[in-house]
Amino acid sequence: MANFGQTTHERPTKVDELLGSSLMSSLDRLDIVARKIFSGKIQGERRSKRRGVSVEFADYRQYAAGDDLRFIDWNVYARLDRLFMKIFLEEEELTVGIAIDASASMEYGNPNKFDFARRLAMSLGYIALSSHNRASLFSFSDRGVERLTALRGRRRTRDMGQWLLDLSVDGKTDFVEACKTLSTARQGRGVLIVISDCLLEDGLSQGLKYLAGGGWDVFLMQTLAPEEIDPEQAGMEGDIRLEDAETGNTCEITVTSPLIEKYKDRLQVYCEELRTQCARLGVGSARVSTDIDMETLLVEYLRSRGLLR
Amino acid sequence: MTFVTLSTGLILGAMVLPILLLLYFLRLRRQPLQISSTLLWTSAVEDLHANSPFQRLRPSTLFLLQLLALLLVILALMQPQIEGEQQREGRHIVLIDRSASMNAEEIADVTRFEEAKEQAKALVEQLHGGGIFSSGGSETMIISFADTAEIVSPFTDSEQQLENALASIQPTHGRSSISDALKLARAYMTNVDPEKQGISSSESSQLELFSDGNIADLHEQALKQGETLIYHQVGEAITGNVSIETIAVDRNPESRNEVQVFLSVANHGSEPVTTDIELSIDGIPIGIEKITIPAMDTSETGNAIASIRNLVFVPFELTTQGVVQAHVLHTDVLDLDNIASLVVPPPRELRVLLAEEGAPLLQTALEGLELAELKVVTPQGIQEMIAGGTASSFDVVVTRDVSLETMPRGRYLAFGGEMPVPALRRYAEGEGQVMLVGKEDHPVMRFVRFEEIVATKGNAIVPTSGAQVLLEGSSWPAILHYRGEGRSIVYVAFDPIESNWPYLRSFPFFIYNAVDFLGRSGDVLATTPLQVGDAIVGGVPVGVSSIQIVEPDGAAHAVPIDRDGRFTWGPIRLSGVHRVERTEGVSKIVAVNSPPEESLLASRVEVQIGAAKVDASATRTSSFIQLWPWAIGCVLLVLIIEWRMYQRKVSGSKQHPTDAFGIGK
Repeated sequence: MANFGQTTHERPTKVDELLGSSLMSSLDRLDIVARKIFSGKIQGERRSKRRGVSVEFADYRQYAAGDDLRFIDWNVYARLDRLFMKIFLEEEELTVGIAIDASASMEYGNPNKFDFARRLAMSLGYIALSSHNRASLFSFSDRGVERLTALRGRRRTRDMGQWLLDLSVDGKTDFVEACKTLSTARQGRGVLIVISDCLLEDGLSQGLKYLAGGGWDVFLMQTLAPEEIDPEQAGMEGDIRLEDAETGNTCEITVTSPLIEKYKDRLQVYCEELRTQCARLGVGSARVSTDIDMETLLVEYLRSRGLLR
Repeated sequence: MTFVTLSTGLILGAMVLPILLLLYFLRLRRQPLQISSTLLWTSAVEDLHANSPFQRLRPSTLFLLQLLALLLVILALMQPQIEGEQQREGRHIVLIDRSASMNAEEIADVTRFEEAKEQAKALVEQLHGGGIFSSGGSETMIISFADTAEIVSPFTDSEQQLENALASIQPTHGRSSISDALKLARAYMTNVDPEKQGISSSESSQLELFSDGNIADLHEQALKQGETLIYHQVGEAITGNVSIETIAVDRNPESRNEVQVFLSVANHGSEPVTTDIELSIDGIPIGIEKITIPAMDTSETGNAIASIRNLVFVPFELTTQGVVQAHVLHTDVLDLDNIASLVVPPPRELRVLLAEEGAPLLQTALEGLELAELKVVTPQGIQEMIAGGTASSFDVVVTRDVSLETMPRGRYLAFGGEMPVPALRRYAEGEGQVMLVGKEDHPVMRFVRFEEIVATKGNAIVPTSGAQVLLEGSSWPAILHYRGEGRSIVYVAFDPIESNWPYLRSFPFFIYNAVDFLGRSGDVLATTPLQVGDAIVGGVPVGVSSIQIVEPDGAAHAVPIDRDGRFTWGPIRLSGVHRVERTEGVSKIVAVNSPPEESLLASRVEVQIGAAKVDASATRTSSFIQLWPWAIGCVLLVLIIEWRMYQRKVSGSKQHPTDAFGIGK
């Protein structure tokens, strides 16, 4: 029981351990989907409100002097004898923000939640860089928000991995302040993927409001360890004094089936309320267990949830 | 279930149980475990505590097992015990009543005796049956008793031997007597210590009495130190029964060839009974009579007295030997007392020795009687025969005017002469007289008209003790009867020649009466029926080497004959007609009837032995089975289970697979 919830597997120390080559090849064909349409500075693979050069037709407008003659619709000119310019939705780059909860509560579970969050962030960041999008990584706790912004191109993958490896967990989750910072730190409108266990006593809803109101297309990934989803199956038993990793609060329990059932009920209600809150704010959400296979998560689960395509 | 030391257990429990609870809470040094957040746990625990205030105690299986083990220890200290049917240890003596009343058949085809054997068998199985906790220190002896007792099995712990012994016991028709059985039992229980020079010591033992309680001499017995009696009642407490109490046969005095049967029939039931009684001779029915017997009387003290009615059958002619049998045609639970038998021998013909002085007056009269033999000798000859002892072979010695010198044992009819008996000694010559008062109810004086007799002289006698005057004359006693010292003498104190009596009709009547009275005095018409338990004794003519006795149920027993030609067989087991047979045919018939006291069938709910009363119902559960060893065994079992659970608990956590996404279960 003393090792219950403690990480027993090898911790990642190299970038390759965050993102293996086999997984990397599976991720090459994926792309991050933004449910909102943004305008980027550089032409990318993302639709934007800005009309431009692409294959997706948007509208016509009157020709004005200086317009690029390549976009004159000659068929219309032949019928109407007037010059009209074809306007296309320009595909521009997308900012993909990935925010990792680096509070003490993430240092838990087997597999470890923080390691899982870093591997997930690494994978999502790789997908973003591979799709010629701009990637920004954040970590947040009560120490503030650390960031690695404006990464472009696959060559920055290693930088991104090293930054993730250098992260450490400590302190509480000051989610509201972190969200405030993230909402104002946007260098371009895009998708913000927040990876956290979301086990907060308060401020979760308010923080989400900050993020949603700041223009991010937010996708919240609640990451829970197997020990948190079903403690009894994970081997929790006996008379225990539980200590909160962040607050230091204690709770004495005797593990029984009724108590476990009650805990599961509470967890289910909590997650359901979180999902409802997210839906109300237009925030996508998903709950994942850290023991899930990363490729399965990305290729199947997140695609089914609309975050990837 | 009772507890020997209840208060001790309760006090200990009151002291220890709170301590265990306290220790349980104190020892709950919960294992610290750091988790990501206590947010959900706190709310879950609060919800659970709100719904179940005893949640802290309920789920701890180990604690409950410890509590159970402690309770079992306390229970063992209370020494619980339950009443057992029998005590298994020690020596047991099974006493089985096989008397006549045990043949009562209250259940169809099952007698009390068979029921008693079944109960005894169950006891043997209980005492010596197999099983882990069966006692090996118990020994049992089986004794059956009726009028005599018999050891069926000595002390043994072999269940098979005891059951075989039980199966071999046969019922009898005898009366119940337990004294011999107790003597036998105590003889086997007494050990003589050679170091103490003859001082014996008796082991404690338990007497297991299987009976209906109708044992005549039970109250005369007493239990000795170390003995306990357990009474296993057999039979119903209320049982009706009709029985023949007595049977008697007499020949008609007016016709010696006719016999008359007298019966006493008893009703032991609470309802009056009307029944037919059949009389048969040698198995051939010759008459039937109906009789109504009232219900038995029940006194205020509760003692029931059977109602008895007497019955006389119409006389019938029986010139030869025959077996008279009366049969009550009434169906009740005991058949053997509904039949009574009696063997009637043929009328006996007498041998008479006569000596008279002068004219053959008496010889003429005696020759008119049916006698087997009449031997006439001279007065001198009879003196020699009496002295030589040859006269004793005659039934009656008759003299007239002969003064005998000696009168050894025998029966005498003497007319005149002087008698060598002080009670009949002549003191003077009697003068002539007439007869005044006669004892007409005496058999000798029956039909004798004495008023006409006149004697001219005689022997004046003053009768003393032992002499009874049968005819009183005007001056001296004329006829006397003396009985004493093995002699029976009818003495006529005058010579008939000196009177007118020979010319009177009363003279031959008197001679007939006197010879018949003397010759058959002491004879019972029917041979006295033997009782069950007696022996059949007899003799056989020279040349017969063996005989067999056939019991009423047809069982034949060869009986050896000793050098004197006599045989003895016994004890008699069954009532009814026993036949002593030899190759030439039946030589003797013996009737055996059931004892009347065995006809009272009401089974007793309590018996009295000495001053102690033993209740049948109370004695069935007189011992206790200790349960504390079982409680200790349960404690060990609980501790093993707890240890096993503890081992499983500390052996590591279980791992379970999750689904594809590992969520949402």
